[in-house]
Amino acid sequence: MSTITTPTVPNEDLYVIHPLDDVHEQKCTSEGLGLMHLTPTVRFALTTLRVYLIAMTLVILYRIATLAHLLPEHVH
Amino acid sequence: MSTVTSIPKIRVNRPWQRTVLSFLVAFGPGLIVMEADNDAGAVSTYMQAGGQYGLHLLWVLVLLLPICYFVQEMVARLGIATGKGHAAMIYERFGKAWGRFSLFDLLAVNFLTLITEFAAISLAMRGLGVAPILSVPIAAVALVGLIATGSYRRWERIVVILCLLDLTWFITAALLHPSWSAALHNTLIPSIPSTGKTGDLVFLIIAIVGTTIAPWQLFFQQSCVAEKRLRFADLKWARLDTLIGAVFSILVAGAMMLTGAFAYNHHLPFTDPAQLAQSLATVLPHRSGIFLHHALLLLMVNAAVLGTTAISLASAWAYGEVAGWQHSLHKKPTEAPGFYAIYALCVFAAAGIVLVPHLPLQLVIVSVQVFAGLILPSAIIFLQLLLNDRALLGDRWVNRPWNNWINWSIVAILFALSLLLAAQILVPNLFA
Repeated sequence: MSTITTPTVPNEDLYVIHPLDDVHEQKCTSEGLGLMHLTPTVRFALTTLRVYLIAMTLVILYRIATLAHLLPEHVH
Repeated sequence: MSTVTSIPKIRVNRPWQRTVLSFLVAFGPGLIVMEADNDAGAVSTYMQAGGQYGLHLLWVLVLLLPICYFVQEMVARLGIATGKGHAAMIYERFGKAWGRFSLFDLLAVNFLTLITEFAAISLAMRGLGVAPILSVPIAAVALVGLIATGSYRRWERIVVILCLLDLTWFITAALLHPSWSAALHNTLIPSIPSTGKTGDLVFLIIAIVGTTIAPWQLFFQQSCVAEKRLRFADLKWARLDTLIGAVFSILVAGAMMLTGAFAYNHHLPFTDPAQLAQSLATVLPHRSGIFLHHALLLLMVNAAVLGTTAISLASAWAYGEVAGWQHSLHKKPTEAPGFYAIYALCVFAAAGIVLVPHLPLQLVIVSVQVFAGLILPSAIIFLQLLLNDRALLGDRWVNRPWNNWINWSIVAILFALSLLLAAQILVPNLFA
């Protein structure tokens, strides 16, 4: 005749393991997948993005150089 | 079998205790990434926003809260699903060219940001009577020492404590007796300052966005989640951690703006937070003035320290992932020399530059915000593409359609701001 009323959850479940102490999980891996498949539209958009970033970086560098008076006067 | 029994387990007595403890062991990366984003540049930007426009821009922070959360949630999910950092995923899924391009962008903007962090340390410590020639090298050595113990847990605990020190911002804001009803009104109801849409206002709003969501955060949180080896079952806790971090970070940003608004209400001009701290010491009664002066300067140092360790780690993790080096805080410096060298190089080089006399620091700060604002939308596009990579992630981890709607909307908003920024750079008097 057991008189135990608590805990309701089996005792062996009542523990916590720190992620760094736990066994390693099998994660999603890209091994054997190669590069991501990109549609021509996405590929074009990414290439455009790269050109935009390079162009804007150059514009920003020019502006910073101007503000820092690193460029000769005639360039202003 | 023997492996399972040797795992250290923390026993608890009640199911709710297990729930709380499960959260606490997963807690950390979300809070750290969000609070470290309230770095020296952020302190300066939010206080400047308060100083120039009072409480009028508080609503911008509310709009940024969901953006912060949704972007960083994706990063946490990707980190848990793959166990790898963001740079590694871009490299593996988009190829070397994009991997190197993203890495170069990240390293460049991170380095510029680090210079601003050390500039803030120099400025704040000078306000406390310590010469930069002493404060900057000491801070740099301490920041390298912080990670060099070969223990992720130790680093995380220390940094979480530093994050919690930011609670002091609420005390500083409260001591300045702001109008809470006006603060609530401006938080909930967007308004444009009476000066109208000037170029300065547009630039400041873009700067607030740029400083609240920075590219390094994507790289940092994913690497941090991978470093902490969060498990699939930890995702809900990682989300809660990220949400708590986002709310805390926005509240702290609001407290910074309230502090700056004191200067607006009392017509105290200032160009940086250290100058405001000095003004407060003279304007307020002696005891509260001295307290606020010291608190603001120390909070500035804390913000810079948090920013420096997180940003330098983001760079070191990303470089290590792409270079294929050992890149872990679990390793000792002798076991991962390249990783620690990159971190130390970032810290010492930035500290060294700050000590160069007559460096145009204001120009560096502005450049950081502009550059970060420029590359952020593209960084989020890669994240969005990775989160739709069904071949890699399977159905369980990819974005749901509603995720994609929200995230593409965020990308569109950030791109619009980026283009606005570009337009203002090209035509400086556009909104004058």
